[in-house]
Amino acid sequence: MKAGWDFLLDVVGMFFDKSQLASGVLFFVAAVAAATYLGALPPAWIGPVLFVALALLLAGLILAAKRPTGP
Amino acid sequence: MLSAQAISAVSAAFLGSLVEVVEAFTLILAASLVRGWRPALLGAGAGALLVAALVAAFWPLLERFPLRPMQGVIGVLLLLFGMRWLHKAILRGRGLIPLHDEDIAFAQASRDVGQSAKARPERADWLAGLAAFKAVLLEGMEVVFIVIAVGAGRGLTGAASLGALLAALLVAAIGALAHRPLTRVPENSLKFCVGAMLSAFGVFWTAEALGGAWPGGDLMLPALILGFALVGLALLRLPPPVASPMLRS
Repeated sequence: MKAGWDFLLDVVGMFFDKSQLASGVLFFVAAVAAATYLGALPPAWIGPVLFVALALLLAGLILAAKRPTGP
Repeated sequence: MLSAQAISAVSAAFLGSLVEVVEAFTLILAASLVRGWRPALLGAGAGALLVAALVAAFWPLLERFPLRPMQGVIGVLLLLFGMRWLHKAILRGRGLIPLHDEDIAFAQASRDVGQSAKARPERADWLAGLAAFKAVLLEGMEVVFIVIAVGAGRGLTGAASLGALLAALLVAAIGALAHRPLTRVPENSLKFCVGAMLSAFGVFWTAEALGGAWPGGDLMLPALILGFALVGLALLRLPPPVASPMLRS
């Protein structure tokens, strides 16, 4: 399972960093897709929920980033 | 009259391609100053031909793909690509990672080509051409990807290609006149704008592929671009983080 996930991220990593950001984006898209499939999200809410989730992901990663202090 | 989506597609493809073309131009210029224009232009031309051949070979496959799955796949790729640019632009804007510097990239490329040429003088032209070839191939494929991501599946490929072509022509014209690396291009600001645009396209298409209905239809696209830009600007204006003692060791 882990090897499969790593392979997927390697393929994606041809253009994108193998990172928390890529994993987070894929996670939120999958979560919204699952919620839509289960009928928990009406069509008008899919886009706004995805936007808010990704904006929060971006904010979380930026706030978690630390300033490098060098050697 | 161009639709809001077509204008967004031309702008996103133009700005995104501008960054890639400037990077390719820097490497071609470095190769040309070490070994002359001939090997650099031959290498760059071969790279451009290979990119064109790959596009010609794979384009028919892309056009046969059903619309909704393609919107989904491209939407997710756009999100990955756009969010990455936006994330890096914000980190650079906050001083958390160094800015990309075309002068440094130019010096590094010149040094690399020069060292390779010294080590194997009989193949110096070939190595300079190869450096230019690789630059055009890699950056060119990224431009193709931006055009596909922005334009495919919505009948906007022509608009996106126009944006990319304008970027290439602009850089070629300025580069031919200036004959030096284009260091005054505000690369981080461009990446911020393109990141916001590509992320907005990504959310729009992914949501549509999942069956979402946007109030206002295509007019939501500029609103999403503005939304990502405002989120990014708000994050840029946050106070700078305190250096982590954990990173000192």
